[in-house]
Amino acid sequence: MLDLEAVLDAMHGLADEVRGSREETLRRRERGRAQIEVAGALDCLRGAVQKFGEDMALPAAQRDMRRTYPPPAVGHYTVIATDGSQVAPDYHHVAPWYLINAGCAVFRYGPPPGRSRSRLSSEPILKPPQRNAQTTRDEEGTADARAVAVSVSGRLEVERLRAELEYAARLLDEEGDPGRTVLLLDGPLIQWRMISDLRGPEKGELVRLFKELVYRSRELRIPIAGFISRSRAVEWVTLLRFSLCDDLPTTGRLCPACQRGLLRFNTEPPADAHHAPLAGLRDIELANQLLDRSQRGWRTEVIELQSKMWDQEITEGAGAAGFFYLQAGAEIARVELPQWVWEDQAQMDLLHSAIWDQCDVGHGYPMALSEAHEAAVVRGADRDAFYLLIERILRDSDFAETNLSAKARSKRRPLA
Amino acid sequence: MSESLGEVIASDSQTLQVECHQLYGAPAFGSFVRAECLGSGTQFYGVVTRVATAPVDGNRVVQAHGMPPGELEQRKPHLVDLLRTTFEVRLVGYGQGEARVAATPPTPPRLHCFVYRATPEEVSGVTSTPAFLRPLTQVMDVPMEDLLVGAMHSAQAAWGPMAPLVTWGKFLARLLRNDYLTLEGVLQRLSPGTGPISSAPPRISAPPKLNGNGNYRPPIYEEPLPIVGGAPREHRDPFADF
Repeated sequence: MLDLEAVLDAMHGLADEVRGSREETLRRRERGRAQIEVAGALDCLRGAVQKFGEDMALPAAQRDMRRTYPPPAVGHYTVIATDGSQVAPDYHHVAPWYLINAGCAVFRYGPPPGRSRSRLSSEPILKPPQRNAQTTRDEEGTADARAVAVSVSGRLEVERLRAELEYAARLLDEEGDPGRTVLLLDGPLIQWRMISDLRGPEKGELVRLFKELVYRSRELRIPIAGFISRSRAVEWVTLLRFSLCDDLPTTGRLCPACQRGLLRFNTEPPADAHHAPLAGLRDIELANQLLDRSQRGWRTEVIELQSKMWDQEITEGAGAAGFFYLQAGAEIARVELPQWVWEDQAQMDLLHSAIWDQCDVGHGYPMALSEAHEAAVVRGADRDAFYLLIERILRDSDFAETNLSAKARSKRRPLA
Repeated sequence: MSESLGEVIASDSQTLQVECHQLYGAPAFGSFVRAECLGSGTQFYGVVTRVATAPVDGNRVVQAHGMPPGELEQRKPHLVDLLRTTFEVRLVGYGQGEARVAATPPTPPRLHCFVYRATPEEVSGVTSTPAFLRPLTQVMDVPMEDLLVGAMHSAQAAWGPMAPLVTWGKFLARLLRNDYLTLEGVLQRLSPGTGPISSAPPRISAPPKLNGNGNYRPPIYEEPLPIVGGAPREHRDPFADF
């Protein structure tokens, strides 16, 4: 039970803190808006970032970051979205089997002949625990090793992501309509953070699946994009902080202090640092300055991402990734996309119009993504039914030990 | 056999809940339907007492989108997959072959049986006695007057000119002896020229009939009964002055 009264004072204190920082935030936002104009006019900025060589955003070639674009007129299109969910293994139940559920939503507006207008489906995958799961060095030879030996191999999030990517790749072939299809992913285009935390074969497998998905969508000329709601990214702001260096217009590169501190001190730089005025600002606050709330469906210019991982692991130098921000009505959303999409005007227009149309009908979030989520989500009642079914099947198979742990029994039927 | 309307998704001895095959494809309130379970040999007859359309998933919330009719279905092509129309049926009888009886069936229909519109012969069979009216007066949370009128109109349409309206009316009068207002409402609405959609103008506010003295003359069923051994007393409606 949650005692809200115990944290009420702390909540009020938090609100006071937010109010106090508001004025500083407003000043920073205005400064950021002004710096977009300066950075947009700096011809040497892209070259300077490339020379700097670090993973960060840079102006896309021959693109003016000061520009914004209205949504193109919506034509007929097909949108595909996938999402994943899971029933985690519960060792308090009779058997720690678990379930990955990948869901999809496909909508066609003006469907081609013979194609359905919508598809909502899910693919559950039952996963029993592997008996030869690898144990850590510390666990080998201990009494706990026997319990770990029946534990889940790999992390649940990895398996879920794997199922989503495989499902998305299949859907490209099954449901893609030439010249009018868009594939939306929930979250970043590539799950960089998850991949960089992984080691061993799991990392390689995920990178391979992402690569196959990106390449397949390129072959089929299906724009692929990641949609991020309430993004906390600071890449665009970092680029503007880069452009604040006094040495840049004259030398075409950062001063030594900025070279050392730009990427290290994102939120609390030294007070005299060139890039200090914009520290702490987020990309969506910047985009808010360019995209008025009344400019529903408008987007910013694409900003390219300089990323060693993308170049080495995904495209092998055959193209970059980038992002833009979209006024989705209810909020500013971030959309990540590969270079081959934004360099093809027809695909870019299709992606922009489709995402905006989906956000418009979905009240600020793409309807295809929210329906894919609904198709994938496993609710409490479904989870309980899953465990009951396992118990029944094992009992019917004369599996003697179909008892719950005492903890599971107490949760199922709490006593007064 | 006519096309089925839906599938039984809940069943007990008195009521059925049926999910329609087609969104908004429910039969009319008060109409007769038949549930048929393959292989059982028994048909179950009932009257539609409620029609509803709602999301299939109880977690979904229906909200206004502000889109004109037609545009919503275009922009949300999956809407038909998210919503379903259901209707409730009050069982009033059952039958096997040509034999039909207005009574509670010994066992209710199985789940997933299909439901059809009852044919005129089936309706005539199950309403040949007025006993079909009793369960309809026991349905809770339904406007009883509307239900009885709807059912009797449906039955009347099946019978044609030979419909035993008077028999039904007399039976209803005993059933609703403690609810005169409902009875009056039903009988007024069943009067000739009235119906769910009638070509004759509805008699909503007919002028009161007056006797030779210009006083209010009550309707015939309010005429005083003759008193044995004496002349009928003068009747004066105490409300005539209002």
